[in-house]
Amino acid sequence: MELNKIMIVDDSATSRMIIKRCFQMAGYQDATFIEAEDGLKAMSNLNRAEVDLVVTDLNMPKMDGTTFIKKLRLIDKTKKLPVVVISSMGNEQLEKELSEKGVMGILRKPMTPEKVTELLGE
Amino acid sequence: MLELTKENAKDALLRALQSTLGEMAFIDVIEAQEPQEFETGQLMFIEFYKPIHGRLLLALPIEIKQAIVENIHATDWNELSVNEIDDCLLELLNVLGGNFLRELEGGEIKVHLSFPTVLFSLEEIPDLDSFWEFNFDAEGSPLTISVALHEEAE
Repeated sequence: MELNKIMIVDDSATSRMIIKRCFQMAGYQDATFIEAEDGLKAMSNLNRAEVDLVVTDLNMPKMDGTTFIKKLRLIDKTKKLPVVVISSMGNEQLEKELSEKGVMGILRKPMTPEKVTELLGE
Repeated sequence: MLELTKENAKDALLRALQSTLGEMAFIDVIEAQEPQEFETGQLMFIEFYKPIHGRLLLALPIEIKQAIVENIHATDWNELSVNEIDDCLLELLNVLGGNFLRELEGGEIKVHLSFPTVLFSLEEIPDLDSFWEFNFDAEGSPLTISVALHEEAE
């Protein structure tokens, strides 16, 4: 999957760093990464920038990941934007709910480059 | 789902610690042969709401705290700010909490956790007597996890 610009949404700076590193190690070392610490900031960033993929946590203050994804799907510009969820809270039921909202997949924390490759391909 | 016994909690914690510390910080963890006294360098707390209600306290000595943070950041301790160190350890606890519940309750469960917090004293936690204490060895450094678990979710 070709990805030039990736947005990472997570309230933990450490988690954003790990996610970015995993994507770089999985072959996306030339991609540009935009970071946001919650859904609100991510929405605001998306008004200004075009991205190819959003990678988001679920458990965040201000605007959680589920609300953020719902909002993305209501806006023409981001309606079909590929989204990957990264969470320590993944489960089958949640995966079904999120896949109905067009989420590509859920990667369970801790993140590894192998999990990125498995989801997005080599 | 495993029965909520002390033995099952210990086994689930060990597996959760091994995967969390192993994958995030490349540190191996085994069960400690006997409890080791240590000066706490970091004390952190997280609460669970689903699938069961519970609380978890993680106490680390300074050596393992430093090793975890340096390994995760792949940089020297002195290069990191207090905020970066706290955020790193809290994220580790968040992942550990989720992994522990999955190990205890089975892989495909709905997990709801509080935001993890740094504690300055054990006095901030009520009912400490209701906690089970477990001792582990992280590549020669002791660490302690205390958990209190209740069947009913909130």
